[in-house]
Amino acid sequence: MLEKLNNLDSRWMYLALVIVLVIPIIKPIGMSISVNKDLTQRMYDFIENLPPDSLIMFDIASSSSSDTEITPMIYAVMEHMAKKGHKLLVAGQWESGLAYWSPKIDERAKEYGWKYGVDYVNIGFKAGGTATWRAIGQDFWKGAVGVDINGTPFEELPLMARIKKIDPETIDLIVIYESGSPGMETWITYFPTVPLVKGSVAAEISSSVRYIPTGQLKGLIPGMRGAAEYEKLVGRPGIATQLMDAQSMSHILVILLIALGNVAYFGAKKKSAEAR
Amino acid sequence: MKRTVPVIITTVTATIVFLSIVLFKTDAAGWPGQFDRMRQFMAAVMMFMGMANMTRVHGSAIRKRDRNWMFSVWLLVIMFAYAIFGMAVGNKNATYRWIYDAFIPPINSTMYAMVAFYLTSASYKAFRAKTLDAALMMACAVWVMLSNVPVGDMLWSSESWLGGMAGVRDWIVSVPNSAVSRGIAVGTFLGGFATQLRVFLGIERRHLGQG
Amino acid sequence: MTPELQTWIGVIATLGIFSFLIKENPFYRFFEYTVIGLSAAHTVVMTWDNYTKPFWNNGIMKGEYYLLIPGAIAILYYFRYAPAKYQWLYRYPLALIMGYDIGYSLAYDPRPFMVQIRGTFEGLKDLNSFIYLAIFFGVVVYFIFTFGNKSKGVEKTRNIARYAMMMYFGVAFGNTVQGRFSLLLGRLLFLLGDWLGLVKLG
Repeated sequence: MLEKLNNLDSRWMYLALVIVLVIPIIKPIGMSISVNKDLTQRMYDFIENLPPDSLIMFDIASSSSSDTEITPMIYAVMEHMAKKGHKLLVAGQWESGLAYWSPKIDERAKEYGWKYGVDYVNIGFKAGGTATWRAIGQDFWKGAVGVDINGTPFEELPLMARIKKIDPETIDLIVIYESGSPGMETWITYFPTVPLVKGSVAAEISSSVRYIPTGQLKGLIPGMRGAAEYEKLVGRPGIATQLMDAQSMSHILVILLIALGNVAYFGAKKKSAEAR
Repeated sequence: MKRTVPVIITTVTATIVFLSIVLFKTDAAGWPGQFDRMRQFMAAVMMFMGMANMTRVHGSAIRKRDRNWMFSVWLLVIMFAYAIFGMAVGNKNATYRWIYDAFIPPINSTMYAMVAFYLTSASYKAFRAKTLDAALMMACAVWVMLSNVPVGDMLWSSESWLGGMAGVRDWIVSVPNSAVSRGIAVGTFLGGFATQLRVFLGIERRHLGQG
Repeated sequence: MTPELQTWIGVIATLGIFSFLIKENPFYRFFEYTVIGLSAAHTVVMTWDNYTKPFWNNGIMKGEYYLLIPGAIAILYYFRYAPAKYQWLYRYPLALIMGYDIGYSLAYDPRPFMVQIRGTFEGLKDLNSFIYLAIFFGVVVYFIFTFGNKSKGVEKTRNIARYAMMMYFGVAFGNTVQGRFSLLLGRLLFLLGDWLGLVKLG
């Protein structure tokens, strides 16, 4: 029996996983969650305390593969911004993610009644790595080659009139949605004076939290759980909240498998020791 | 000419760029700004490198009739067709966008999502508390997994003693985890910095390849 | 080209990729190669539209002719894929870019790490901050004395660091599980919601 358990075919586990996840997706119970005071709450408070009409820049540094983690974060932060009346500047260090999320941002902006060019602008993907961001930082219009994602000249977008540089006087906060490199290091290294917060995929939480005590990061949304927390804070539950029960089930299954795997392993080991 | 001159170019360029940052103001009109501008345009010119590399790798697979060579032919055909079409009509074109939405996000997300299955089987087959080290790692992993989901809050509420399950997790994340991450980062930084100095001094030349 | 057809392609692609879990098959390979090809092309199109074309129109054509010199050097980079005889030419732009990047790194990279190190020593007031410092110190010692030091003090410090690192890897694993399952849930939500209509999307 223990032998059999020890050599269990992985595909049975895959099947168990799918069954365990499908049920709570279709019928969630809606268990409540607490808010992480060290990370999510800090980020919420920072945006909450900005004066109205502040300019927040989104940097999309992720590909569409992190959709379920990043999308609810973007929506929740936009909801917060809409409530506070902030302006939005969208940019991207990664081309694939920017292409994916731009229409979603447009859709939400429409819902809030934001006017393109006045309340928000999307400058699109700018290649060239850190050299480009430094150039944009020194002279926004020239560095960003003078056009937005649609090829519209900055002269025709009223919001761009107030954006000439990347400095704390111009940009009140950078929110980076990141799942890898290039990412927040660009801002921490070359623009240390501009406040920075991060919507982080879960795999990056461990290596990002060290920037919180030094103030290099003012706050962080930790993965989909963090997104659900932010949804709770802004009072608009979305996909992250909806999937939290299924997430519970998946973690419980993994913990059970770890326990079962250990029982099978140590049981088989004990048995073979007795046989000898 | 083939190796020595590039090494000299690296050292001289690094020296000039470094000194320009130290000596001049880093604004768009200053020298560092001009260097950034030049580097920006170099990136613009080099935009086809990814496709060139794909062509080489898959072209070679086709020539050698590798196991998946038919797929390599398909890859090159759709890559060139999609790129030429996109450059001609622009990325906002409805058909271009339609193809993007239909294929790239679903396939990309699914490839990353597949890791969840492998993590599940690895948890069963590889996560064994054979030593104190492994047990410690396992305990922290289990604790973080539980406290990252609502069930953790249900088992030990964050309103209660020590901030509950999430409170203990926050301590692990913000004290030992953060300190280790900082230590590793410093180690990595020192290693990276040393490598850069070696390239700067011309001792490290592997990036220039053979020949 | 209806949205329904788009959803169906997404569904077939999703199931095609997942079919790899059962075993390696041509269906999976087809979608894998498709996305690699399309992504490479997409990067080029986005760069062309948002960067290279406007750079040419708003930079070079407006008088920044001096940029044609680095531009010409950058073209040499394509010799990486030329016949062996000419391949060495790609080293010139590479050397220039390396030099440029190193110059910047030497000037800027130390600062964020100095802030990190300073932060570790600042505000040593409670037990947690001393634990933090001890672990940080231990990990740095662990990496510096990887080989060759057998002194008892170093060994003990390395041991403490190792336990702390195990905790770090445990946290990283736990968080990675959360992340990867989030993505899987996204795909299941797509199949159950967008396709089958069994779930109302939030």
